[in-house]
Amino acid sequence: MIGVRDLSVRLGGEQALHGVTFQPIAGAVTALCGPNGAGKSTLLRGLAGLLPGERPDPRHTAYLPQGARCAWGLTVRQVASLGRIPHGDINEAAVDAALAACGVTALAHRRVDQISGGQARRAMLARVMATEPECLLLDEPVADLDPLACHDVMRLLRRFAAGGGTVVVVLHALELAAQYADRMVVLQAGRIIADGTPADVLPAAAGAFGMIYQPGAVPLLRFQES
Amino acid sequence: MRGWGIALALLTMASLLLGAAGLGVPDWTILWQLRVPRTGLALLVGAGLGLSGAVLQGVLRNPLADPGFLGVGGCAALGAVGVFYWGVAAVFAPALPLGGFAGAAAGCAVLLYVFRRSPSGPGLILGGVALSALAAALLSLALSAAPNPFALYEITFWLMGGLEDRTVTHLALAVPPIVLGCALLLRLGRGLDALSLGEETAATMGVPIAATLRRAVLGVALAVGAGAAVAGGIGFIGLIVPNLLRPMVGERPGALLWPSTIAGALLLLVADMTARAAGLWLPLAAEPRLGVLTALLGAPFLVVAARRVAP
Repeated sequence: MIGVRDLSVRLGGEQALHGVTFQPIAGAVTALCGPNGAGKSTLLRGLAGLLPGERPDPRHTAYLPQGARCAWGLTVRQVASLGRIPHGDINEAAVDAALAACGVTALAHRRVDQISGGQARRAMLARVMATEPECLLLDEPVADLDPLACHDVMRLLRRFAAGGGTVVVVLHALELAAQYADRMVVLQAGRIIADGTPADVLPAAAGAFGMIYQPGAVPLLRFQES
Repeated sequence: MRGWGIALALLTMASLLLGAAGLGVPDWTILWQLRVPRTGLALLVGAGLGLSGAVLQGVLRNPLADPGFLGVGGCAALGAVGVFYWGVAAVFAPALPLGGFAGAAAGCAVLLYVFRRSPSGPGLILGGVALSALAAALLSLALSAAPNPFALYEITFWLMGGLEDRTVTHLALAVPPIVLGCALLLRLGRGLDALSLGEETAATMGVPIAATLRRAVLGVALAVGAGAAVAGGIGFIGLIVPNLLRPMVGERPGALLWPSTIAGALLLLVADMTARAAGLWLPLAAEPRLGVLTALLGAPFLVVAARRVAP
C-alpha cells in the first residue's frame, strides 16, 4: 500500500512539504485541495515514488502529472496503449475498456495533437486507466475540461474506487471535491491542515482559499443524475 | 517490410554494378576491392545515421535532432582527425573508429547532460550549434597546425565525407562498432515510446531513464563515431530519414527504429550512387563529395522541417 510518512521536501530553497504523513484509503476517492504552492503536486509525486530515494511501482500505481502531454502525434489509441508498457504486453481488451471509460472510443484513430485540449486530456487519462492499476494518482485531471466532461471524469473515478481501487486526485474545484470525494485533504504551506469527509473539511478548505463556506446555499446549475 | 527488402536488394545490386569502370558487371577484383566495401559502407554508415537520428529525436522529443548538427558528428570527426593527426591511425588501424567513437561519445554525453532538464526545448538545438562550432574551431586549429600540406589536404578532403577508395579493411573496422551500436539502439523502442510522455511519467511506467539515456549515448556514439571515422563528415541523414518516415509509419518513436535503419541505409546508398553517376557522366574534374550531396539535400529539408515545427 502506498503512503508517505513524515515527508519533508525542499524545492528550490523553499520547504515544499513539512513532515507530511498521508495514507490513501483503498476503495475511496481522496481529493487533495489547497491553494497554489501548498504542496499538493509534491505530495502526489511522493506517492508516485518520484522523489529522491523513492522507487515507482509501475504495475500497481499509475500517475498522471499536471498538464500531461505527448511529445508526438500519436493516435489516441496509441497513447492509451502506452499504459500497457508497465506490464510489457499489448492487452487490447484493457485498452478498449480504458478508451470507452474515458469516452474517447470514437477518437481512437485521431492524433492527440489534432484534437481539442479537453479531448487530449481524456486520452491521457485513458493511458493510466489502461494500466489497470490498483491506485490512480491524478494531478488536476479536469483542468481543461468542460463542466460535463469534469463530471464524467469524476464519475469514472468513483466507479474505479467502487471497484476497490485507490484514487488520489488533486482538485482545484472544491465543488467537485465536495460532490465526488469520500475524503478531502487540505494542504496549506506544505502542511495538512484538514483531513476528513467533505462535509467536515469544507469550512477549512474554503478558509485556505480565503473563501466563506455557506452551507445550504443552492447551486445555480447542477447536472442531472444519470 | 517486404518492399523495403526488395528495394534494399535491388539498390545493392545496382550499386555493385555502377562505377568508374562503367555500368555493367565488373571483374572480381574491382567488385571485391572497390564496389563491395563502398556499397557495404554506404549501407552500414547510412543505417547507423538513420537509426541514430530516430533515437536522438525520440530521446530528446525533438524532430529536429540530428547527430550532425547537434555537434555529435563534428565531435566524432574531431576525434578521428585527432587520431589521424597524431599518426596513431598509421600504426594501429582500429584507433580511427575508436577516436571517432570517443569524440561522438563525449559530444553526446555533454549535450544530454547539460540539457537533461529540458531536452525538448530550443536550448538543446542551440547547445548543438555551440558544440558544432567548438568542434569546427578545434578542427580548424588542427588543420592550421597541420605538419605538412599533404596532411592538410588529406584531412580537408576527408572532412567533406566520401566512400570512394575504401577497402575491405575499412569495412571490417566499421562493421563491429556500427552493428553493436545499432543493436543497442534498436532495443530502446519501448523506452522511447514511454519517453514521449516525459521523463517523469516514463519513470512511473517502469522505464529506467538513466539507463535508457546511457544506452542511447553509447549506441549513437558507436554508430556515428565509427561512421564518421570511415566515411568522414556526412550530415543530415539522421534528420531526413525519420521525418520522411513519420507520415508513413506514424509518429510512435519505437515504430520508427527499424524503418529508419533501413531507410538510412537506402538513402546513403542512393546518395553515393548519385555521386558516382555524377562523377561518371557529368563534366566534373572529380566526383562530388558525398557529404556535399547529403548537405545539398538536407539543408532545404531542415528549413522545411523547422518551419513545420515552429509554432
